[in-house]
Amino acid sequence: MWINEMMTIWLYGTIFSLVLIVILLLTMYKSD
Amino acid sequence: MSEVVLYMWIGLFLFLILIAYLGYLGYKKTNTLSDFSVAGESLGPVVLGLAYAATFFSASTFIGYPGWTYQWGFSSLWVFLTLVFASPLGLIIVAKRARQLNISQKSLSLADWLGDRYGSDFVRVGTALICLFNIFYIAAQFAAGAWIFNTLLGIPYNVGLILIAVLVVAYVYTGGSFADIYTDAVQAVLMALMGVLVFISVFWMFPGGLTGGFEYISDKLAAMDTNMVAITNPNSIVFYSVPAIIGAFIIQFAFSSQPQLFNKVLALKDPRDMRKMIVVYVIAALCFILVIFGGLYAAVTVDVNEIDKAILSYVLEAFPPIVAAILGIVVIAAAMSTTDGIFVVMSTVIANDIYRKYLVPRGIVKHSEEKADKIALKLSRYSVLIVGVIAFILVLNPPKSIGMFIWIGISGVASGSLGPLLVGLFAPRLATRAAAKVSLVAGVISYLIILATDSVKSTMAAGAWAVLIGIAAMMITGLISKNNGSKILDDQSKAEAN
Repeated sequence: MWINEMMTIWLYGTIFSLVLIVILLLTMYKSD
Repeated sequence: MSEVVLYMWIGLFLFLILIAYLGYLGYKKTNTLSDFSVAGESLGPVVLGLAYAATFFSASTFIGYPGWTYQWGFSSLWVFLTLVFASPLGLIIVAKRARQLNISQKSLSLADWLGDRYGSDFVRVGTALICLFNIFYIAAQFAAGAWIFNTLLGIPYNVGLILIAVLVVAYVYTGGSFADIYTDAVQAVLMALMGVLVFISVFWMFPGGLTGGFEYISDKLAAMDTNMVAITNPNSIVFYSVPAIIGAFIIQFAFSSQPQLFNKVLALKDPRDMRKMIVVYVIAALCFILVIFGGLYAAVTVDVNEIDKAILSYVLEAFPPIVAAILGIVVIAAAMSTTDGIFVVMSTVIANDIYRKYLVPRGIVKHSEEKADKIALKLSRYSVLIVGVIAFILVLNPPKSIGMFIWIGISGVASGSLGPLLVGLFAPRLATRAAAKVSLVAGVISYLIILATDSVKSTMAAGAWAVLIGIAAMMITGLISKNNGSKILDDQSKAEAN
């Protein structure tokens, strides 16, 4: 755990979101 | 006169000159309104991404969300996750779908978009009317501006309110929207910078660097009240329970999937440009929302009687006066540009969507074409003033939390429009005219009932439940009316097949 429960959720949640966004953008927005 | 007051006045003066100059530049570049609305295409994905970020985030989020962390502690960080997860997701998924379906209409209003999609005046006028909820959005920006003037210039809240309302209305009247995309991009950079600065102030305001600083804050808050460090806080009006958190994610997703927000994305022809634009937006947004941590820092350093003053008081504490003044100006700028856009939406609703496209053609008011054009112009002018006055009155008594107040408006608009919008995009076979009407009414009525009975504390969650009811109503009616053999508006189904 980093600092407290919420900060841990925040840290992993943010990382997860950013990775997901990158994957979605790379797979969904390919050049025509 | 204290240093910060002096810098604020100088800053305001310079800012107004800059706005005038940028407005002039924009005016020179775009001679007609239609030139302006397609200018997006020549501007490139980076500028557009920044402009989108500036439109999406407003003064009231900059001031309001840190108020939540100040008052209710770490649980308020959920809003950070909704902004970094749900809203980009809404944008990415819905913009992609909208693009596939070739519905990149430009300079659209929500009412126009849905009215045309379903070929229904009821949907057009109904959507136009629910767009009037946006008045809460404008009012929230006024309140944010008033607190800035109050905290940084030391003038009373009500005087600050008059100042910001006059500034914003004057900005709209002098054609501030011409400067929109340029000022938005600059603003987004400055606000992102401010977010980062506020976040890293942990290094000099608290002992022990990043981890040490947060441990210090966490321990101090836990000593005050253990709810302040929990993942939900029963005292909070936002994240008090797991359903409230889920509701916040749903409504953020819904909010970012409204076409008038992402039509700039659709204007870009190459999907790689869209990708670039969304990346720029996400990076800007990420830096920007770091400001939310300022509320946590404020909770252990300053003591304010209004939660919306927390971030401003903290900035005065943590930074030299000139930085505080720049922050003030940037947020005022954000209030002006965001409000400007909404004012345009509101006057379009009244003059175009309701009067010009419904009352006149239906013969409800008998005006000749020529006369109608003149009256529409007058209506759009007066409606700015009327909306300004109503918004002003709404926040004469400062709201308990600007961050919550703004969602009364956003949730209201979403409650009635999201059903017809999302089902229309993702399940076109169910998107019948009857279904759209039922969804609109069911969404708005359920939202109003939730508000009136005060049965959901969070206006974000209230909006989310109403949106879900609207979508469910749309799908059920869609199934029934489809089986009845009523005409399905299948232009989009065809587009899908192509």
